[in-house]
Amino acid sequence: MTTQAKPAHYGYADLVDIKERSFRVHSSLYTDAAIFERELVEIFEKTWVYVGHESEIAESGDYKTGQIGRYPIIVTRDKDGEIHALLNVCRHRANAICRENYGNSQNFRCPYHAWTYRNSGELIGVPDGGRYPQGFSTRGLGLQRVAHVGAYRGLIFASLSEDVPPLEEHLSHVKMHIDLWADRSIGGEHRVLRPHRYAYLGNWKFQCENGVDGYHPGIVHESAFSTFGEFGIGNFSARDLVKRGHITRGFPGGHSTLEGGVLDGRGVGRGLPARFEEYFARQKGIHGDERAEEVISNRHVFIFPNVFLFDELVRVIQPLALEYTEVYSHPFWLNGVPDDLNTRRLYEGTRQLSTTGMVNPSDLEMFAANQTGLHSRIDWLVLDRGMDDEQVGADGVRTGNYSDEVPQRSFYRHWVEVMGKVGAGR
Amino acid sequence: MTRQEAEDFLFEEARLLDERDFFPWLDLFTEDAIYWIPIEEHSDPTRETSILWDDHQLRQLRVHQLAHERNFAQSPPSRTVHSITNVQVSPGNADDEVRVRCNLVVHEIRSGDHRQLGLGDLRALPAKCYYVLRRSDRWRIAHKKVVLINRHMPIINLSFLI
Repeated sequence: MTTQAKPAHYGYADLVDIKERSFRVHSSLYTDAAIFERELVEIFEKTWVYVGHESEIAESGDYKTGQIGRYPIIVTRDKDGEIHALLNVCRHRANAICRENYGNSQNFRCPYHAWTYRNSGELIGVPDGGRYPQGFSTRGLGLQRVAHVGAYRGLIFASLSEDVPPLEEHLSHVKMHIDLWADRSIGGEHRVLRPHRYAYLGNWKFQCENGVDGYHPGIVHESAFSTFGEFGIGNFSARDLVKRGHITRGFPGGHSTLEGGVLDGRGVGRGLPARFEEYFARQKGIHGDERAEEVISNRHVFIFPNVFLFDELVRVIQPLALEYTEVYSHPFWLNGVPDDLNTRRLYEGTRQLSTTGMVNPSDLEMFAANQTGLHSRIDWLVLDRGMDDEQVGADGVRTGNYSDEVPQRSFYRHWVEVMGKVGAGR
Repeated sequence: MTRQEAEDFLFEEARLLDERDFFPWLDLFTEDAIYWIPIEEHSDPTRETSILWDDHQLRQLRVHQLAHERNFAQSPPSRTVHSITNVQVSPGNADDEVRVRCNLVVHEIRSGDHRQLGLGDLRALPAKCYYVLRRSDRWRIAHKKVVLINRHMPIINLSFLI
């Protein structure tokens, strides 16, 4: 593997070059193994990270394993219904106490020496405990807790660091977009299904950038959209969306949206127009005409650093190596919405965005090709698009047209804020 | 249907896929056929996640996209070899149907400038396959289910036909 290192005289803050009419990111952001390590520490281990959805651990005893940065974790629901985020690490010899991805258990028994923990973390059993010295206590030897765990509209976030703002402050401006996404269901609750799992040979940030990039779809996905058009099942053109006034937004904190307006019931009822009209009428009754229209609008919501909310999927990004990223893309059920509409959404997500999808594999091909090009050690990548008329609100929210690079700039403004703090490069 | 007849049918499907002769492959299916690659082998595909769930129209869409010159996930294209073994035939639910079970290994590679990331890796995808074949003017696939052994793992780019 070729890796390009950050130039020695650069601090982290120097890796994003922001001028009035240009915005460049240094290519070492994607190729320097030391920067990748720093990102895991400074971003994934020190901020709120998405770890799952409440519905994935709906019942007492349900659990889900995963990873925050390099830390193996387990998210559980105890007998009282409380959610815990714990390190999946035995306190005796650091063995993983759970080797399954999903399951149900009130206790976890370490396979190595059978130290046993309750799913709320307490150590409740040590075999042959009498051999430990006098004064040995199992108290204080429970599974280590992830410092904070919190949920917003069913989305569970956790932070390994004590020192983070409250979750809702972290989510800040993106909260209203999460609300719109959640209100797609009748009653505001979703049931998240098992994920499509796929991977790509490229840096994790490519996926963060791409999911809110309205510039590429008409080009990268031409073969998919022209095929859909040929079969009369909904076409898509970024140019049309720009013309129709659809937008991107970038928020302080690195969050962003890509908003495609009302796309023939996309995400809720494409192909079932009569059923969709019933649903839409119901939404109008609940939320009023104007908000109902916003609720059903096509919207990609990116929550820094690792999760997208789409019409049909919750997409989770897991960086595993500098040039290897896994993605877990969970279809979800809109509770209170008829099954046939939900099944249609499930099929739509599979058709487009699974590893066999007609859309998604081409994106992943771009990421591997980007990463290949970056081995050339070119210096700066260009994220200037739309800077001339980017609108900046008093609250720091930036807005541009559908194909502008507003979200990507917000991502890197925040990246440099987080990484720049440690910027002891010089 | 004898085992040899079943093998002849499956070998012909494999040949069409490996020679990238996709439009005749579409004709192997009945109009109401489902082609399914599940994640959970015994799940309900209308309510749970599948790797692929194609009805007649989706199979057509997929083959049309494969023929499109700007299909970047297939540029360069996948070369495949489908190898079929362990064929077993059993009675179907109707007089004109049989069930055929077999093992499948698909070997796949995209060459092109093989030095680039994402190209040049020879991959093997082993699977258990379950077919329902139905006879009208000829035998056709009424249901095809491919159970990949790595179905719970992240998989890169399955934009070719298995």
